[in-house]
Amino acid sequence: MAWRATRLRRENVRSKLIGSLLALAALGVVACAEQTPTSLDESLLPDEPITLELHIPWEDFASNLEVIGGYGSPSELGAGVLANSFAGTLDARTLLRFGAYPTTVSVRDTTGTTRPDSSLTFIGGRVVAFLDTIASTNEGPVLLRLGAIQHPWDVSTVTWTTAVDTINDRRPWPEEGAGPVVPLGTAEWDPATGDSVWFELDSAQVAAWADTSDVSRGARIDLLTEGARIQIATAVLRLNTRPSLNPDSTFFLVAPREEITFIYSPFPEPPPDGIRVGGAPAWRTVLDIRVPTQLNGPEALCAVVACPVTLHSSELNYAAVVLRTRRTQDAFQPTDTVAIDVRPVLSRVALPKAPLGNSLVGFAGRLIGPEFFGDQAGQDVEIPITIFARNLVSGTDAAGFDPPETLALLSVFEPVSITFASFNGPGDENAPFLKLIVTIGRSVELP
Amino acid sequence: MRSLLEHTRVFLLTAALSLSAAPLCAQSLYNAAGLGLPAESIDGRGRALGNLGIGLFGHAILPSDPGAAGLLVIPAAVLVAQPSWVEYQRGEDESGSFQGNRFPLLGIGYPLFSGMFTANFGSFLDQRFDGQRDVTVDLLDGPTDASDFFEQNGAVSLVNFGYSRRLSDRLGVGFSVGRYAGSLTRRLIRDFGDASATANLELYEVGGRWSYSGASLTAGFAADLGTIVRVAGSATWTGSLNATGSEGTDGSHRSFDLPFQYRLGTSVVLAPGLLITASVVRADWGDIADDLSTPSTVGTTNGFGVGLELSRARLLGLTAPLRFGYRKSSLPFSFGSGGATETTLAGGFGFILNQTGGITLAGADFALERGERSDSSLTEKFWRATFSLRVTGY
Repeated sequence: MAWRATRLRRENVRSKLIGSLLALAALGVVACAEQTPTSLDESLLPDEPITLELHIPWEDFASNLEVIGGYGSPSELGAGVLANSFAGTLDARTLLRFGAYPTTVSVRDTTGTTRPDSSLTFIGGRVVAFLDTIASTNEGPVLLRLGAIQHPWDVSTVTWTTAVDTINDRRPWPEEGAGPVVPLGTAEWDPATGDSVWFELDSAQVAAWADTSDVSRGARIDLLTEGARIQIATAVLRLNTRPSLNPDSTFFLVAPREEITFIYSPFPEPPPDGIRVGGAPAWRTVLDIRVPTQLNGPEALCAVVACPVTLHSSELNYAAVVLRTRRTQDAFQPTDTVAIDVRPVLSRVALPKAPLGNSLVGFAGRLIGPEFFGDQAGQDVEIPITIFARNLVSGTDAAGFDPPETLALLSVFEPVSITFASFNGPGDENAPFLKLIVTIGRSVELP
Repeated sequence: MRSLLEHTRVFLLTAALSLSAAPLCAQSLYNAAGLGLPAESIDGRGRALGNLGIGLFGHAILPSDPGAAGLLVIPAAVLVAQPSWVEYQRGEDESGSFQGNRFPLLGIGYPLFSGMFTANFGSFLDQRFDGQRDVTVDLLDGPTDASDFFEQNGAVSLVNFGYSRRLSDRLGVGFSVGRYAGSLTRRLIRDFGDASATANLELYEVGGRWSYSGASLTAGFAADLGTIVRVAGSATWTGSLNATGSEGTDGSHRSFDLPFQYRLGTSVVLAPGLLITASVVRADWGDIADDLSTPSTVGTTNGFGVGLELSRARLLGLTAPLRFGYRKSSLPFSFGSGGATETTLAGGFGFILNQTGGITLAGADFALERGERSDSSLTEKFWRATFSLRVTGY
């Protein structure tokens, strides 16, 4: 029996050993950490390629520059603008409509019980405007005026001269600049004391704006102080309310802002010789691009490879349109950072409503400080278009289609501000140029 | 208590083997010289004995010993894995270490038409290596740092199909027809990194992929002189190794002349349980020098190996032959002015897991080598482990 037990134990050990060996084999395969032999000996590498920066002048890479305006409406901005002879030229007014008034309020009656009360009496109110202190240009107090609009107007199409401009319905203002209005009062805003201003209303005016079916209802805010441009972030109508259940008390209810837009004059003309991006409605600049596919210099390149050399897309490391900033009209000079987007135009013949491709500069866009369009104008700004240029060189895009040859320069959001960015166009030494960084070398051969 | 002791022994053995087997990883900077570093299709037993793949008693199916396959009588298969850990020194400044793994041999043999049909797949030349070069490019904005990365990835492998048969009780002959296969990718990438003086620059990438083809023919014999001596020899003829660039590869097609290889080996049983072996190899790679476009020192590969096997050793109740070996051979390609050589001291053991009537049905072999490859500019010291599993039977 002892002999048999010993033999069984040996069989047991043997089976465990076989299992261990097989497990080792599997472990060895799975646990392999491959480290490739790496040498720093340059003689083992192929010949060094050459990297060059090339500047292609406007005439050799771009054509058909066109500035197109009218994208979006000031009402999409969700803010108002006021100006009075700003930079000696710009006048701007903000138009507002408020929504339906509250119809019930919870009131504690004379017995101390809180109950809903739908029999409300509006005994007055005030329009409260909240101002954007950064986007506004004034440093001292300014005087604002509120008026009640008397003429039907359409928030999407209203302009300085036209109250309504929809299909088969074009109605000018009786008086340019959204007039006439019934004056409702003035108020002074000093940015040093706060970021809001209000205008008191009587019960008659509050009642006049209660009818939401009245398309002529609305408020117009003007700037009476000359030489400033002010941005209104938003506005509300605060209602002074007396409930029937507790007539000795006054409640403050709020009617929200339903619509806000602004009108301005004069409307800027498209630049005859420049590039413009931004504004409200927004401006875009489109241009056709071509990238050289054969290089015949410089000498450093031809010393490495036989010239002329055909440029392949994989040899193009970087491509950018370099624009030189110029001073924007003072009235529309940016007061905040400008974000420029660049996208391929997928069908040039469909302009100005042509579909656009994906952004070439990412979600945030190419950010440019406002000073580059004012005191520090004349700075070069690179707008990267590497993927676009690579597609042009290869002749196909990522999906295998013919690549678009037209680029659109536009604001990241349209519209984002009444201000716009300006750059020099073709025709002089400040003209845009194409910056290319290419790396070219001999083909890799076997040892 | 005895059971606990046996469990402990199994655990210790497993742990010791784990240390040598994981991670499975085999490479060399000599991969970058000429066409690469030859990779021999030898199993764990041969490695432990310093053998060059020929002249061993036993049941191995090695592509370099077709005659021995003729003396086999039942189907057999072998799988070999080979990790290695390498430390290198190049000049005074450049040193480092790396590790890698390859599977140098997968072979089977099956009786057919009164002989043994064999098929095996193995490595022939290792070519994988990376290189790096730091450069400065002058752009209009100013100098910009960049790095060139070079990647060579691939190998020449060899697929052999052969037929061997026994001419008498003590003489086997065989031949095999081989086809070179595998591919090589060479890529140069310039990376401008984050140090670019301008915006983000895309990588520059150029390279190509080549597929290898070619044919070889190996013929050999194995003769047993009584029961104590075996003598075996083989010769391998190889046509040109052709490298054909794939679509999109700008580099040209190439052809390389590979050399004749001669092998001779013997095993002698000095006493029951005591075997010695010796083997030599020779191949003249000189003709390939004209085919190489990059400067490389090309020479003749002469090599020899000797070993000793104590076949009656036992471990854990199993037959576990102990083996020791030494080998020295020259490498065909080197960096320096003189040729490069590889020397190794080896030790190892095997386990006969199942044996019937003197025929090993299942076995495993382990070898651990400590070696050095060197020429006038590069020295590599390495540990190389070889693990092989072999099975026989229907």
